Order: sequence, then C-alpha cells, then structure tokens
Amino acid sequence: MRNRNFKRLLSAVMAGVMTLGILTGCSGGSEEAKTDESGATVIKFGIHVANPAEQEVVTYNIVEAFNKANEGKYKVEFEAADTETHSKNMKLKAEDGSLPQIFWIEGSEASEYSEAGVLLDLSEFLNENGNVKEALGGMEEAFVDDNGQFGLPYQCNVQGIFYNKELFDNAKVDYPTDETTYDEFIEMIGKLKESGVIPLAIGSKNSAYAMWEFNEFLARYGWEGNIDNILSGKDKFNNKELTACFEKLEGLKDAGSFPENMATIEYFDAKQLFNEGKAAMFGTGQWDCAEFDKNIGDKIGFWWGPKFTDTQSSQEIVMKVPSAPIGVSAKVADDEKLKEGVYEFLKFYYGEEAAKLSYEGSIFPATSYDGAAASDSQYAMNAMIEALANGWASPKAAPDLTVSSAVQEALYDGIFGVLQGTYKPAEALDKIDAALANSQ
Amino acid sequence: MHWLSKKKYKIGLMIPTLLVYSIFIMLPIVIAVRYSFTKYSGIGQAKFTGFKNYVRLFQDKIFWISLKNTMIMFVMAFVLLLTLSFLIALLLNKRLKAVDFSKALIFSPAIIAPIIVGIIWVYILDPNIGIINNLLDAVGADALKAKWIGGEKWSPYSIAIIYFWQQLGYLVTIFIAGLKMIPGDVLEAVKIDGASAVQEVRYVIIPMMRTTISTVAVLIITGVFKIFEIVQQTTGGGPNHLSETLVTYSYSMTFSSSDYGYGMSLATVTFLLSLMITAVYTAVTKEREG
Amino acid sequence: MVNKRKKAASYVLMALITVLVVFPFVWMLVLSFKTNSEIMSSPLSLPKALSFDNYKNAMKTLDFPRLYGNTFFVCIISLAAELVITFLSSFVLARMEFKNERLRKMLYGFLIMGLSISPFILLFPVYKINVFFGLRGKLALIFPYIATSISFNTLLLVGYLKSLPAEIDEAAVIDGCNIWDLMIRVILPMTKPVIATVVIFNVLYIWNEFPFASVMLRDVSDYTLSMGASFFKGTYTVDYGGIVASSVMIIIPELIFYGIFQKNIVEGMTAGAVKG
Repeated sequence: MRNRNFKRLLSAVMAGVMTLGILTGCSGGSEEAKTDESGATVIKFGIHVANPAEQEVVTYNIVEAFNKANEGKYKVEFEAADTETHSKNMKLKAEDGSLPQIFWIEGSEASEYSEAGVLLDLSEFLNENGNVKEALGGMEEAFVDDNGQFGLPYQCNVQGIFYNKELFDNAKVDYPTDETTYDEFIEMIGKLKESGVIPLAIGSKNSAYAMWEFNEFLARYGWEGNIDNILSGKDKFNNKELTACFEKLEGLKDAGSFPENMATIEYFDAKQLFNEGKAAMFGTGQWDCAEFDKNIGDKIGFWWGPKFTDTQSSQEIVMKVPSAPIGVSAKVADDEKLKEGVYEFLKFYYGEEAAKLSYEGSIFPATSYDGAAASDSQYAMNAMIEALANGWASPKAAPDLTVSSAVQEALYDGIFGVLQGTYKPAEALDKIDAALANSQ
Repeated sequence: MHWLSKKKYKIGLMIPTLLVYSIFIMLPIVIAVRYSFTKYSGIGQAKFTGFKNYVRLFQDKIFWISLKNTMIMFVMAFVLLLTLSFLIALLLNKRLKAVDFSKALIFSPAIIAPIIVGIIWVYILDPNIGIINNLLDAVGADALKAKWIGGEKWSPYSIAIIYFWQQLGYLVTIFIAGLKMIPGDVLEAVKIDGASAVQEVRYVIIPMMRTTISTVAVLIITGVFKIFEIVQQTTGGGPNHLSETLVTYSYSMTFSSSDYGYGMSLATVTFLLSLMITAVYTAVTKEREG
Repeated sequence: MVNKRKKAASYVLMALITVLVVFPFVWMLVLSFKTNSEIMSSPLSLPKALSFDNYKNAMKTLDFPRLYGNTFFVCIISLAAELVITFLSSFVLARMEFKNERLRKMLYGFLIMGLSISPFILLFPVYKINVFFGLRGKLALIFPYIATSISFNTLLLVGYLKSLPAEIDEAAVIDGCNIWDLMIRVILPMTKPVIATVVIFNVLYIWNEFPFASVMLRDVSDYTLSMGASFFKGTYTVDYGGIVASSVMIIIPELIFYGIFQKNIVEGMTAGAVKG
C-alpha cells in the first residue's frame, strides 16, 4: 500500500518531466519542411529588422508578391528581429540547427558561417539560372570562397551623407558638391551649428554598425589598396594613411558636429533627429530613402562626403557596393521540396519584377535590368542617382565588410571612440591592430 | 519516523532537485570554465588556446575599466545604501502618521522589472531629453549640466544612484524588520539612563543589529554583481565600453561580439571575484563577532 | 517643544524621501501623454492634452495578451515544478533520518551554495545545455528558472520544516499514515505560510527576469514581458511616447498586484533576506 502510493508520487513527477519533454519535442523541428493550412510549403526568411512591413518595405513587398503568385504552393514567412538581436539569434540557431531556410547575414560573419558548413553552395542555383547570374553582373563574386557561392547580395548598397537643404538654406550655407573639401566641410559644420541645428546626426549606443558615411573616408584614404597588406601583416592599421583619416574624424568631433547625447542614442534616434529637422545631415544608405521622402520630401540632398587633400589616394570614389549577403541553410538540401521552393524564391527575388518593386521602394537591387527606374517623387533616391551620375569608381566591397568580425568590431569601436573623444587616432588604430593580432 | 526514512525514499525524493540543480547550476559552471580556455566564435568548433584568454584579459584596458566601474558602484552602494537605508529605517520605524503608506511607496521600485527601471531613468538622466539637465538649464545653472549617462565620467555613479533608488525600499524594510526584533525594554532602559539618540544608535542599536547589517551587506555585494539591465538601458555600456560593468562586458563579449571563449573567461573571473568578496566579508564579520 | 519640532522634522523628511522615490513613476506617467516630438524638444513641458495615442501605439506594437500569456505560462509551469521538487527534497533534508549526519549537511550545503552564484556565468552554458536537450523558446526558460530557485527554496523550506515538532510525524505514523499521507496531508498544510513566501519571491523573480530571457528567447512569439519592454526600441522609428506608454502598461499591473498583496510581498521578500 505504502509502496504503491510512493510509486504513484514518483510516476506523477516522472509524468510531469515527460510532459515537458513531449512539449519540447513538438515545439522543435523548424528545420523540417512545414506546411501551412493551405498546404503551401513554408519557407522561413530571417531578416535583420524587427518589423519588415515598415523597415524593409521592399523585401516585404517582394515576399508578398511571391506569396501571392505561389498561393497554395509556397509561402515565405519572416523571422524578424533588430540587427543586433538577429545576428545573435542566427549564431545561436546555427548552433542548434534551427536556422531559417534563408537569412540575412552580417557581412563580416558570412565567411564564418561558410566555414562552419551551415550554408548551401548556391553555384548550382546560379548555373541553372543564367539570367540571374547575368543580372547580378559580378555583384555575387564578393561571396565566394572555397566552399563555393555561400551567399548572394541582399541588395546593392549606396551609402553616403543625406542633407536637409532647408536647414542649409536657413544657415546660409552652400550645398556640398563632389568638389567640397574636408576644410570646407568643417567650415560648413561650424555655420550649421551656429544656426542652432545639429550638424551631423549619429548615435553610438548599440549602433556600432551605423558608420556608413565613414566608409567613404576610409576608401578615400586608400583602404582598398592597402587592406590586403595590412591583413597579411606587411602593413599596419596604424599607418600614415589611416592616421590621417582618423585625425579627420577627430576634427569632426572637435568641430562639435554630433549630438550631445550621441552615446545614449541609437542609430534610430539619430535618424529621428534628421527626420524631424533637428539635424542637418545624416549618414546612411538607400534603405532609408523612403522614410526621408515621407519626412523631408524634396528638400533632401545626397553627398558622398568630403575630398581629402593630404593623401595620394584617389578621391574620385563613390560607394555603391554589394550589401551584406543572404545565405541559405545547408539543411535545405535534405528536402527536395523545400529546396525547390527556396530556388523558386531566389529566382523571384533576383528577377525583373522584384527589381521593379525595389526601385519603387527606393532601393537599389543587387540585379540590374533595363527599364527599372525611380519615379519623380522618389526624391531621396533621385538624389542618389544624380550623385552616381559622376561615373566615379566604387570599391568592390564596403571597407567595413572586408575584415573579419573581430577586426570589424575593433574598427567600429575605434571610429566611435575617436568621434567621442575616448581614443586618440593612434590609440584607436593600435586597438584595431591588436584585434587583428588576437584573431589570428 | 525511522521506518519511513528508507534509503529509496530519500533517493527518490531528492533526485529531481539534485538532478535539475546539478545540470542547470553546477554543470554550467564547469562548461563556462572549460570554454574560458578556448577560442570560439559561436559556430563551428571551439579551439583550445590555454591561458590565452586570461592573459588577454589582464592586458585588456576595458576589463580594468569595467572592474573599476563595478568597484565604484560597489563602494557607492555599500556606503550610501547601507548607511542611508539604515538611517531611513530609523526614521520610518518611528510612530508617525501615514508611515505605512510611505513605506509601501518607498518599497515599490523593488518589485518593478529592472529593465523598466532602466527605461524610466533614461528620461531623467539623458543629457538631452532628461529632466535633470533641462531643469538646470531652466534655472540658469547651465554650468552644472553634465553627461550623467553616456559621458566618460558620471555613468557608473549615475547607475549606482539608479540602483540605489531600486533597492532603497527593500533594504529599509529589512532594517525595519531587524529593528523590530530589538526588545522594547532594552530601548526603554537606555532612554532612562539618559542616553542621547546618537549614543543609542551607536552603542545599542548597531551592536544588536549585527546580523541584519551583515545580511544587507551580503545582499548589496551579490546585488552589485547583478546590475545589468540598468546599464543596458541607459548607456549600453558606452561610450566605447567606458560605462561597462564586469557583467555587461562579459555579456557583450559573449553575445554581441560572439567571442564566446573570451566572454566566458570574463564571466569566470567575475564569478570568482564576487565569491571572494562575499567570503572575505563573511570571514571578517564572523571573526569580529567571535 | 523640542519634541514637537523633532516630530515635524521627521514628517518633512519622510515626505521628502517618499516624493523623491515616487517622482520617477509620476514622470513616466506624465511623459506617456506627451507626443514624441514634445518629449524630444521640450522635455520639461507638461502634456498639452490628455491624449491616449501613445497607449494606442503601444498596443499596436506589442502584443500584450501574448506577452502576458507567455509570462504566465513560464511562471506557472516553473513555479509548480519547483515547488513540488523542492518541497520533496526539503522534506528529506529536514525531517528524515540520515545514518550519516555529514551527508545531510553536505547535501544541504550543496543546494544552498547556489545563492552566491550569479546567473550571468550560467547564461551561455545553460543555452548550450538547452540546445543539447532540444529545449527551445519559452520551454528553454523553465529549467533555468526552476534551477535558480532551488537554493532559495531549500533555505526557506528546510528552515521551516525543521521548526515543526518531530512528534507530528510520530503521531501520524501511529495513526497509520504512510510517507505520502504524512507529507501531503499532514506536513504540507502546516507549511502554507512559508510556501506563500516562496511563491511570491519566485513569481516576482520570473516576472521580472531579463538576462535568461534575452538569451533563450529568439522568436517574438515567445517573448515574455521584460523582453517586450526591450523590444520596443528599434522596432519602429523611435517612438519615445510608445516606449514610455508600454512601460507604464507593464508597470501598472505590477503595482496593482503589489497594492493588493503588499503585506505579503514585503514580508515574503524580507523574510527570505533576514533568514539568510
């Protein structure tokens, strides 16, 4: 009798534990092909914004169009989180084997994923779809290593400084041009500041990646020519060129270019300052165009950044580069139906219709098809297209995406350290060198 | 009772607890220490690198900065929180009207999620949109304006203040509970002897409250090493890791930088440090009592 | 006279301290009625009109029923499991005979040790262990929450169970109770006050817990309340009003809960500390 009661107790505990186990068993398994109510195969797309319908409108529209065209057959669903959380999540998911079928990868981390063997080689896809390959026109080459085509460019990034013409007019400052030099830039900042606006909005909290305008600085101090030597140990980050470059960053700080609470605000807050007409300039890329059209309208201007006179490196450089890649989980290969669906989606994503949708949403797609263009009311994008008309060369990849994640992190830390006065230029560069040494 | 204490009962009843505890508390520490000797980026294989992470840690300026910040908060919390909450407990232990209401209000921050505490204080301390700087501006005391959070200097102090706000009511209540345990006639006797209030506190109350004071001290010690959400919300450890604490720095190295090996070596050192401080403190107080 | 002045001073001090502590809450409430640009450009001003737009936005962004649902789910399962297992093990440690007294002390010491272990060293390893067991989403939180409660519960339960007189057991056994009856029918009802304390302490912990949640939860559909609060940033263009309003909406139920159970909560939280 006693014994039976005890057994009952034990089995109750066991049952509890087992129920938990079963519950978990059911909740897992996102790696297997799933279907929705209509029987469509569900394809998960991990994206780096928390709310794609508002923050990545174009991708959202492309996905919607794809889902509509393939109703009952395939359905692409987002797995959305802000950039930093997304990066963390994807790493953790790579670990437990629950990666979404398609996902956006932080540029500098892509090669790590590739080496870990969690990404599908997309060469087969490109070979089967010659027109996609042609439309990409070499943009895809940035994402090839020994394991093959480990990713494809998500979009094409055009990066630089947007400015609010109205605030420039108020401060009686001329708009910047391709020929504006760094000294003139500093002068411009002084006048803007005097007029009572924040010259250049930027936020550093949780936003180390938000340094796009300074990629141009790095590029114009010969980054592309020197980086191989630096990474192979023949040269150092703390060299003459980059020291000069970082001194210019320090100059911006000394001129009081940034918001006072730069350290407690994020990229999003900084953008808000620009949107609300409290800041005259903001460095970013084409992904914010639609937002600027809504808030600033035809008062928007776009500028690559200043020319520097204390370097031999070419100054005729623009920034039109493949963005971070999207990759496909290697597990997709185990399931024919899923693989077919993913290929279908990629074909659509890099197809002509998607390119049109892209231009409509002020995003430069990674592909180029004839006839896709922006309409007149897409002020921000037109400002970019105008700036691109100078025909200057662009590096193959954005400088910050040419280094490993550890070095990238140190680079970001160094740039923001100098911008906020916590590091001297040489100190910041030494730190990047140290990070490189540590990572080898 | 004897015949109920069979071995299989004991084992059967203990096993669920022991199992969960060993797997989710003890084993993780072993795993953390093991990872602290490797280089691991989160995907692929961890590479054994010996003491490299620890060498790097001692040369890492940010590690020392976060240690310094943690210590600033620790000292601030220890001195301010311990003395002020004790004094406030003395005040609120008096028979005053509405004192219970006041106690209840002072306690309330302790039940709020720390993450919300962080959010609330951004709107008070932020250099631009925070109320303090704007108030100073409004009364013309511009000179006193400072970057309370996000600057190079004040962040750890500000975070200590926020922590103070959150913990005050809780510690006050513990002290009051301790005060209530002092027998009333002892205090009466002291009064009759004509002792002044200061003397009463110094010679009667403090000695009789030793265990309570120790408890609060240990709570503060372990608490300071758990300050996390407040830093995340107010400064995110910035600018450039200058307001990082040991805990946030190890979190950011582990999960934001994906430098898992190094992150775990930071976590291990932090863990040992907090154990050490607690051990030293308990040893010292025991000795004094014994 | 002196006494009166002293008393007045006490009242002033008490009022001052109370107002200072309460002020941040009030300020949040005020901000939640201001528009976004008012918060940015005139931080000191009072709201122009009593507008509930921020609350509407917060409701739109955050799926509150889901956040609450998830939090309840994790809370109830963890709480039930930890109460059952720690009651059983504490019963053994407090009331059963050990041939080897040292073994009992060792087991007790081992279980108590967790009080001085900061959860931060556990985050990544526990994540790994969850992966190993295939625990994902909300379920990944349950075991760590149970585990981190063990030390505290053991401390309180063993202390209390020991204080119950041994004669109870003897009388029960003579009456023909088996161990099951003894534990559940006789001892458990007597343990109610301390169980209330344990429940309150654990519920508050789980309700507010953030570090584990931030590591284990990766899908918005699994988010608990504390994650919801952090989620607001970077989700839309920054909406300060929305952030404040959603924080207020998370705080208010907590404060109501506190208002109702104020006495128990304060007692529960301090009992734990004083006993330690």
